[in-house]
Order: sequence, then structure tokens, then C-alpha cells
Amino acid sequence: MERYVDGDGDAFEQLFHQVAPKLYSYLLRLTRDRERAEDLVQVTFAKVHRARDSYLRGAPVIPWVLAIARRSFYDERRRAKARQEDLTFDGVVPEPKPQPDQVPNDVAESLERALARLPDNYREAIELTKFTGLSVAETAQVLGTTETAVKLRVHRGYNQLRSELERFRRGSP
Amino acid sequence: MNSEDSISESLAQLQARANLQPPPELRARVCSRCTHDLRPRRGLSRGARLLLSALLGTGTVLLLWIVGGRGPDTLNAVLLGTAAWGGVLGAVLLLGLGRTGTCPASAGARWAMLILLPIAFCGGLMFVSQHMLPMTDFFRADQVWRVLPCGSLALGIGALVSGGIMLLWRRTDPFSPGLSGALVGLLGGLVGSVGIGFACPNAEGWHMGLGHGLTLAALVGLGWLLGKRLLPP
Repeated sequence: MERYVDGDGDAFEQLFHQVAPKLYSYLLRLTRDRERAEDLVQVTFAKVHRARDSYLRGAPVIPWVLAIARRSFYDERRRAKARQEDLTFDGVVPEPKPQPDQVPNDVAESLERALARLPDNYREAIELTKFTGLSVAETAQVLGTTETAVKLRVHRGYNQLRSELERFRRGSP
Repeated sequence: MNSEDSISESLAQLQARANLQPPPELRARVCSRCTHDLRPRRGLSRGARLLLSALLGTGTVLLLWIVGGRGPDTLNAVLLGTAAWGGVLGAVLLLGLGRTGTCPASAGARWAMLILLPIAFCGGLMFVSQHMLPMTDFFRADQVWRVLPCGSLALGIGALVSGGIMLLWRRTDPFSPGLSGALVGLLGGLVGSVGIGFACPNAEGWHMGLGHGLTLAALVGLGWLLGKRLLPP
């Protein structure tokens, strides 16, 4: 990242290689939509490019980039909601997304579905620590909260996942 | 297999999908956009931002002291105490601002600053004033209204100082911009409140604590909202 800030184009390619898989997977999990995730990858890197001089040399890059991505996602979601409300105000009601009604056929699928049902703050804490592989401290940084809060969210999220899995094992979707 | 095991096992399955490579055309687009006009870029360092923020704050207070300061009397003693107390808290606040966009462990400390410093400032003012001036006049109708010009001037000056500091720290905090913005608002509020205090005709405890304290609350709220817009990259 330091070499990129100093104007080295090759360093950016290395940075992309290092950061993009985690960023793309994280955004895919947030959006659950490939196109939106790709758009947000571009938006995030554009913001990284614009704000590269404010990067604190020596600080971990991935939490910094993921925090920018997360904020971009929520901004985009807020704007999309506002647009939807405008449409509704004009009398054109947007079509609701169809909910999958099949029973999940394996534990992983059931877990995926249970994760989607978790409140945003629990889900994000679990995804960043368990999937993206950030430490609790880095996750706290990305979410703008304390380490204690992250541990609490992961714990509560796990409890909810456990009860969802129990329901799955008993055969109810 | 217990449920804890099955969660871990299933999470491991999902983890395997957690490092997906973005499509090559996306990579090409991003790389070309981010490297075609790449030049070395040096922004203000964290230390320079802190120094400029401190200079803006102390410069404004000094200017207001020169313009509005009075000769030595009991009132002036209260105001000098106020300035000293505000200066101490402002220095603490600058330390918190210096962690903007960095250390994850500092979030708790910064929250504590945001809650405790206004209480310490208003409480300190009321305590000092109460010991030096009688608290009898504040609730008289003509005195209560003095809160308005005082408060609005402090608010205006605080907003200008906060705005300046906010611009200095623009695009530096993707992590907790609302909190950083609120701290910037608090710093501006302290400057406005202390600075206007030099010209304020009423240094009674209630007036100082409530009238000038409301400025802090308003600027913290404003800073929170503006910080979310201006501070993230």
C-alpha cells in the first residue's frame, strides 16, 4: 500500500491481488448479488484511490478497505431504499423479492439461510471473524465498535444459529 | 455430533467459498482506472492535522479573549478558570481526535470522552462559578434570555471552528466517522463556549453550565451528522 501511495502502479496490482478476493467475497455475502458486489468492488477501489494519501502507513490494509466497502454498501442500500420509497410514493409499488420456500437439503445450506436471517450486526460480526478471517480487534475496527461488542455479537449470533440448526434438524424450514 | 460441532463444520464449508476471485474483466477495469494517472501523493500527516486543529482552536480562543476580555475582577477569575479547564479538556479531546481512523482499541476511550468531557466541562464550570458568584439571578426573566445571544454566538463560532477541523480531517476515517465527527463538534463547542465566555456578561453557575453547555450538545449532534458525510473516504 505504501508503494502504491508513492505512485507505483505495479504495487497496485499486487494490492488488488491481495485484497480483492476477500473484498469481493465480503461484498458478495453482504449483497447476495454478483452484479452489485462487482459494482461495489469498483466503487470501493475508486474511493481507496481517492483517499490513498489518508492511509496511515504501516496500518493493516484489509480492515481499512473493508470498512470503506461496508460504508459504500450501506450508502448504496440507503439510496436504493430512498429510490424505492419514491417509486412507491408515485404509485408504482416495487415487486417484492420471491422468498425461497424449499426446505434446505444440507446443514451448510441451512446455516447459510440461518445466517441470512440474523440481524445485520450479528451476521456481520460472524462473517468478518469466521469467513473473512479478521481478528476480533480488526472486526471491531471495521464495524466501528469495541472488541467486547464484537465478542458479544458473535456469541449471540452463534446462539441464534444453534437454535436455527436445531429447527433444521427437527425438519422444519 | 453436537450442534457446536455442526456449526463449526458448516462454517468451514462456507469458508471455502470466502475467497472468491473477482472476474478478470473487473480486475482489468479497476487496475486501469486506479493506475492510469497514478502519481505520488502526500497528504497532511496526522501530526500536522493535530497541530493545525490545536492552532485553530487556541487561536480562536485567544482572539476572542483579546476582543472580549475584561480587566481583573471576580468575573474574570471565573472566566480564566473556565479557559484553563476548557484547555485541559480540549487537549484530552485532541488526543482522542488523533486516534481518528486508527487504533481499534480506542473506540471505548473515545466514547468515554464524548460522554464524560461535556459533563466534566459543565460540571466544572458550575462548581467554580458557584464558589465565586452568588447563584441568585439566573432564573430572573431578564437573565434567562441572556442564554440566547450567548448560546447562538457560541454555536456560530463553535460551528466555524468545527467546520475547519472537519475539513482538515476530511476522508480520513472509514471506521467510526460519526464518533470522530461528534468529537470534532465537541472540540468546536468547547472553543465557542470558552471564547464567548470572555465577553459573556453573566458568569453565574446555571448560566455557564446550562447556557454554554447546550452549545456543546448541539455541536456534538451536528458533528455526528456531518462527520458521517465528510469523514469517510
